[in-house]
Amino acid sequence: MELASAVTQSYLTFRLDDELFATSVINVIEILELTRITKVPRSPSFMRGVINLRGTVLPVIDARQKFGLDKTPDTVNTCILVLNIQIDNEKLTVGALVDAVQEVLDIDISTIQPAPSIGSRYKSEFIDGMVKGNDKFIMLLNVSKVFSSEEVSILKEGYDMGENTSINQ
Amino acid sequence: MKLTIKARLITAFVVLIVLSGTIYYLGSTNTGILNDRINIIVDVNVKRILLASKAAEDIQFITKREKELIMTSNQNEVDEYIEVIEERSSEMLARIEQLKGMSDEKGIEILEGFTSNWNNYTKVYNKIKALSLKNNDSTFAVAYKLSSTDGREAALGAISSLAQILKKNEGALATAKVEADTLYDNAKTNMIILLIVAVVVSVLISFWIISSISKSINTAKLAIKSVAEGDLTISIENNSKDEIGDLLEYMRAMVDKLKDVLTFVSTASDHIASASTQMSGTSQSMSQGSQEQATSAEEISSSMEEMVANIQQNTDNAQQTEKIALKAAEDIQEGSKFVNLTVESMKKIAEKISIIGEIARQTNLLALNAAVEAARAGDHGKGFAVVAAEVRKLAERSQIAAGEINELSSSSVAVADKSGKLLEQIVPNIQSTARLVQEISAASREQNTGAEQVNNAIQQFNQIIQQNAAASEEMATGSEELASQADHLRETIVFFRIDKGQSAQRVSAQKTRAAQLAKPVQQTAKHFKGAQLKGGVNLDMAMSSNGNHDALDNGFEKY
Repeated sequence: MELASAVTQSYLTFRLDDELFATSVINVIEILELTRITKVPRSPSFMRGVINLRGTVLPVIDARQKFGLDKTPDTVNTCILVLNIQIDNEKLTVGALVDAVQEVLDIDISTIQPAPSIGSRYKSEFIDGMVKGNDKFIMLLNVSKVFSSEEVSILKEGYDMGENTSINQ
Repeated sequence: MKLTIKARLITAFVVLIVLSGTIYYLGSTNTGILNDRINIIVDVNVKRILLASKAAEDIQFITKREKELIMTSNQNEVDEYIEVIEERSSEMLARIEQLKGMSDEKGIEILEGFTSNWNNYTKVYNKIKALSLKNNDSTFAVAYKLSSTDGREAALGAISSLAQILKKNEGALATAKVEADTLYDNAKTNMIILLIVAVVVSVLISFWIISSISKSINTAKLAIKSVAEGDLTISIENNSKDEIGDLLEYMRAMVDKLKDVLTFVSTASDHIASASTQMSGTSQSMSQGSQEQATSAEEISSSMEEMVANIQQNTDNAQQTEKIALKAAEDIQEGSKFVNLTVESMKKIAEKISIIGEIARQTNLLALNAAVEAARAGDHGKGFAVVAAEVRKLAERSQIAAGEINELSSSSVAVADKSGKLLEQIVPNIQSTARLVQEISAASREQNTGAEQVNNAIQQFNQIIQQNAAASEEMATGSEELASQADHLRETIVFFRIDKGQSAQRVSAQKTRAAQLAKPVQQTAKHFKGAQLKGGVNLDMAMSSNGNHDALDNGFEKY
């Protein structure tokens, strides 16, 4: 297998609604169970709030809302992905609520297909490409591009605020 | 004209009574006349004689006292004599007055003569009296003289007048006697004549009545005699129109009626004979019928017994079913409890399984984290990544398995729940089934008693049938007796001759017929007795035991 010896990259797959997404494990710090989320006032609707992650305040965004999907109640499978994102050389740790975490996949880079630019419900800028999974496509997300600078600042605010306020919790 | 015996007798007695009355009247009249005469004699003539003689006696008494008056010198005696004389004289005058009252003209004339004489005497007496009152010797002589002359003359005249009266009345008495004798003779003659007439009339009337009655009675006697001898062919002649005539008329009607009755009785006895034969046949068929009835009753009885046994079994079965149903209900209730327990257990299992699922999920997450860590470690983490992946797979599988178990247990719980409910629903059904079975049991018991009653009724029925059989036998005997009685009756009424020469013929014909009639009756009775001797209900119809097929059985087909 020539391809087997080819360059692979590890991706963590997760599920939003009925779609499978994947993000590079490099961005993933850990996977948390859904815990109590402290709501932050005047935050944008996609931001759920903040959680206490081993003493640090972690802002949590709702990936479904971020991707414009319908809001659904949380289940036991709902997890928080703790992600490292980098915007304008600024590192940021955020939590993203996903419906379920699937598995860690080693994906051959050559099999990645570019994301379609037209007809997609999603902004193709934060989709690196698509991979054919077992029965459906997996969209490879560039999590750093998911958030705009503005949003990041909000997150940062939240982060800061959370850092200042949520430590005590 | 219808002259009845009553009328005749009344006429005869009336005639005799009239004759007797006439005799009595005549006798009575004559006796009355005689009585009148005697009365006249006694009341008038004899009294006149009596009065006259008494007056004469008075006069003699007075004249005697007058003499004594003259003779006496005692003043007291004079007064006494005067008083006696005057008293007597007034008595005599009263008698004369009485005599005058009952005298006829001639008598009165004689009495006037007497009165004048007596007046003369009174004059003389008065003179004597006056002289006596002076009472001396001179007066005595004068008085004596007066007395013996004028006084004596006047007194004799008066006595002669009285003697005239006596004489006259004696003559009247003699006349009266003659008249009475004549009257007696006439009356006697008349009465004898009337007696003779009465005797003659009586004899005639009795002869007439007796002759007429005896003639009719003789006819009646002859008629009754011939009827008594059984001869009803006589014709009764009747000419008389009296009671005996009626009697004869009625007797003729009686004989006619008797003829009718005897004819009717004869016909009726024929009918009775034939009817008794029919009756005998009927009683035989009745006997057969009752035999069949008895057999049927026996069959019914055995069927009823079977039925009773079946019903008993039904009752037992129902009771057992009831017990089983109750047991089943209890068991089901227990089963329901167990099902509930099972449901509880299942629920607990589900809870435990969900814990396992949770653990699996967390394991999965841990494995994922480990995988992420391993991936981030790059090549160094490869082995760990494999382990993590395996762990994750195991966790996933156990999660899936737990989920499946959960599903299964929840569906089992639902099923168990449902079956529990169903079981609970079944319980009342089974209980009601038990109740129904109980009712069935009670009903079967009632049926049982009912069937027993029916059985008893059938037994009674059987008895009645046997009684009927006996009764039909008696009826056969009775009809035989009836036939013989009818024969007797015929023989008895043969005695009467209704029409000349007919009775003998009839007798022979009837006798042969009676013999014919008696035969089947006896045969029937014999057959019946034979059947009856076999006894009771199970009659051997074929009579195979003695191999003697009796003639009446030939009428039946053999099977």
